[in-house]
Amino acid sequence: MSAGKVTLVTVLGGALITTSTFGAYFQILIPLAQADNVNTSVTVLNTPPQWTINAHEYVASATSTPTNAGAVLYFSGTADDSNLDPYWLIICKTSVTPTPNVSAAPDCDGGAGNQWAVSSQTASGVEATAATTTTETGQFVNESNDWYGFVCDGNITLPKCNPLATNYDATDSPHSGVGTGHPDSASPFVINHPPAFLTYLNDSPKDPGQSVTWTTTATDTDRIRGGDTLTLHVCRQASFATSSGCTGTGAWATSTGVLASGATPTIDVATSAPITIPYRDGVYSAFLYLMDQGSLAATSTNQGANSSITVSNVAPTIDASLISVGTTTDIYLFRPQSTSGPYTVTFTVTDNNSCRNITDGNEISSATTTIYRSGVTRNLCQTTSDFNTNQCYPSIDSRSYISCTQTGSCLSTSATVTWTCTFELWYNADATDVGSFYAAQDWLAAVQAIDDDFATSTQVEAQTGNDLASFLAFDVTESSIAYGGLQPGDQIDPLSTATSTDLLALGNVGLDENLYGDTMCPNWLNSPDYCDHAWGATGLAAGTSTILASFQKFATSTVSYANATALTSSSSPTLFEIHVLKTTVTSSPETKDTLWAIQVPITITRAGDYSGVNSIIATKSNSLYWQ
Amino acid sequence: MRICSPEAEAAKKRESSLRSRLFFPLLVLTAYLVSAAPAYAGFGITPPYVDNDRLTRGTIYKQTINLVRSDPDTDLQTTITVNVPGAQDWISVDKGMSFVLPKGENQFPIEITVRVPANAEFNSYKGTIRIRTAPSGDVPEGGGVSIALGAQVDVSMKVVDKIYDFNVRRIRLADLETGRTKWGLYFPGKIRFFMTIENTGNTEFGPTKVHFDLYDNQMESLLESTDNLNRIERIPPFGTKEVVAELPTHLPPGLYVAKYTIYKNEEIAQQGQLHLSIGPPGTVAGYEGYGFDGLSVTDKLKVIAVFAVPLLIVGFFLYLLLQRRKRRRR
Repeated sequence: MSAGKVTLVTVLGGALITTSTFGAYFQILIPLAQADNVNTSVTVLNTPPQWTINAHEYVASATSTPTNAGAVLYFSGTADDSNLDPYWLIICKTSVTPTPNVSAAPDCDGGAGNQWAVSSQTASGVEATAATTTTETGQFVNESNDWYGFVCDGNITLPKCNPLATNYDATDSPHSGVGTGHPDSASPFVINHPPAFLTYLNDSPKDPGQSVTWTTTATDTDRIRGGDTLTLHVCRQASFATSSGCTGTGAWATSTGVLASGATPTIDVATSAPITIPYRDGVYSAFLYLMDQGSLAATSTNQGANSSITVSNVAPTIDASLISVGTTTDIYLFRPQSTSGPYTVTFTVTDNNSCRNITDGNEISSATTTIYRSGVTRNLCQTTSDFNTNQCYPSIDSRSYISCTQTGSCLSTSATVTWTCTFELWYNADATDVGSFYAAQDWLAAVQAIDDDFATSTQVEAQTGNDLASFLAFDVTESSIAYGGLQPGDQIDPLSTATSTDLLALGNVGLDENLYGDTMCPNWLNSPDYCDHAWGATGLAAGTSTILASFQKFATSTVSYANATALTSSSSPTLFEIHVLKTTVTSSPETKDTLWAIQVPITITRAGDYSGVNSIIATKSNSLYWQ
Repeated sequence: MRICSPEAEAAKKRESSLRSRLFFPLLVLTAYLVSAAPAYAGFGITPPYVDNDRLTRGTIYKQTINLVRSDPDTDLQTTITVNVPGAQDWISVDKGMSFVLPKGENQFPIEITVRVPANAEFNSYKGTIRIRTAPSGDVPEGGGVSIALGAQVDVSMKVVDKIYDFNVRRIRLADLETGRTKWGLYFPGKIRFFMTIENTGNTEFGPTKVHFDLYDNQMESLLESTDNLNRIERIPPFGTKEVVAELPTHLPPGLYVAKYTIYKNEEIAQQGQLHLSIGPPGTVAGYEGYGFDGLSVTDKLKVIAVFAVPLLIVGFFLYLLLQRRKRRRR
């Protein structure tokens, strides 16, 4: 230490001692001139905090705005402490003043069991908040719960609680968390308890077009509102939120029911959903969710249960007016002595289960058709023994060559789809067009559809049929007639079967024939009028080297040459009504012979091979002669 | 045939001997062939007629005749002969009067056209059309005749005054979507009802109206009645064509039963019942709904008002402007 600093300490110390000495002298030795005044003093100990904002529910918990079990319930209040001690807001179940603690939170009278909530230590003048998590059971089992708010400090010498329990009411000043003061923020607070989801069932299976109903049984202990309103949500997926209901693919249905007030009532909450047409048959999930009006979900294990429904399979149907036999024209056969086809039957199948099944395959798995002439009637064209190439082609018989396929496009939203069946007809199938034996009739189809579950439609007959056209088909097995050798003036007499031609009915009509011939002459060439030009035949006059057509004669039996019919020329063909029957047995075509004969004119002077052409023009006979 | 000579007689005896030696084997062969239902080389036509009793003056009628063969293994020359007194000149064949049935073709259609003159008499006309093929066999050795085959088309025609008539040969119904609301206007669903109409009259004609009564699927209640809004196409005389009637519906998606009625003027041409499937919007591929033409009268008025009111206002101001100019000129 330097000498200067020692000097400074010495001076300052001396001054302090001198001042202290004079002060003591005046205080002790010089008396004050106070005759009768007595000094009094008292020490005011700690005082409890004082409310500045009464205790209240931070979010009003009341009958109309209950606190859902499980939610946190907040209480608020503000107090000032004169000695600026921090304080606690404590919410008790009784109105008895709590017990304060030094530097610790107070205790409600009766202990922790009587305490709803207590705040953390809060500075004087600052809003204190006490919170508690409500529960479905335990101390929150009651619906309405009284509470009393106290403020206590934790003074280290004498902690105090304000004995004034407060409630927030309409006269209180606004609060930032509550808005205006409201009795709903006052005691009691109200707990909304979840409903109990007891049972569930549905009345499926149902057909498309019907409604399925889910019925649930539930109860709810809350009564002060006169019975809670419960809402049942039936969701298509297990996806649900109390705020928005069914999510994902949405809801089947939603419905509400109000519990009656009473002891412990139960309620059947039912809801229905229409099974719209079309709807694919199968099992569909339906998840049940129940909640009350406070959006509090039921706690039962039934909550979210899958009460799946079954949409029944229904049999398909067919509209008679939408069955078309053949195309837009008559049906024409086109193969002599054989089957013709394929011809089509087009029809629309309606299935209320949609044309697509639940696995996105075709709902309609097969179809059949029976084809018949209308006069036969549907009932008599059903079995294999009914099969008849003339008139009946039942679906059951493989000889009908029936094949059916789905030809229309199909969306799952559609109940209808087009099917087409093909079939073949034998050449002798009865004609029904103008001039035929069955002209008053037509050909019909009776169709049937079968779905993927083997449900079968009724067999439906077409409202309108189609005509099968006459099919004039035939054959003459002989390609020529060899008359053999004759001398001029000789003739084949009587007519012989050795020189005959047949006429086979290879279509569906009876036959006659128009006959005419050309003049015969030697060295004939394939030209109708060759002989006339080459050999100078003139008109009907017999030449020396030409044989006119009229020297040939024909008949159906071995009549004499004189009684047979003379052949005419092409300018005037002869209709020869031999009446070949319509063929009824496919393996045995009807046929009839025409016997031919010739006379060699006496005028012939040239020997040789005479040739010519006879024409057989088949024509449809009058239908009266078809059978 | 051969005119007789001694050589011919000898040949005849040889033939007789040969026949007796071949008789038994032929009998066996014949029995086999009969049991096996021998196939013949058939020739045919279908239909074997030109039949129309509803021709009128100036009309054209066409009939297709199919010529068919079982064994078209060769080309076959064919000739046609028409013999219809009084109407001979009306008839023509698209292939001509002589043509070849080609090898390999079982069917060969020919179209016969009847053109009725404007001055034709109201009368019946009957006749034939002969279709004759060339002989398929050779000239028989030793003389004789070849056989030429043919078939006859019977012609029966009647010229009469005008006839309006048709047949409904087939109907079908397209799926549709439900109506939709756009710009505050409701565009109904469009039912498309297809009808294959055969005009059996001799004058252009067709369905005059189509009416639908729409019921629920159980046929318990009538939900809607509707008529076609479009003009249904007419079909030429004797023609067959598919035409469409378009009808508006206000029904929501679902399946319904429709009772339809097709009108022939005041007469009912056909009635029936069918199912109608209405899908939600966007579910029917290729579906085109109604535009302005499907709107209700109220909605049409709304649209007209939207366009007409501004035009009227503009027109009104133009009118005032012109009037003012006129006054200024004066």
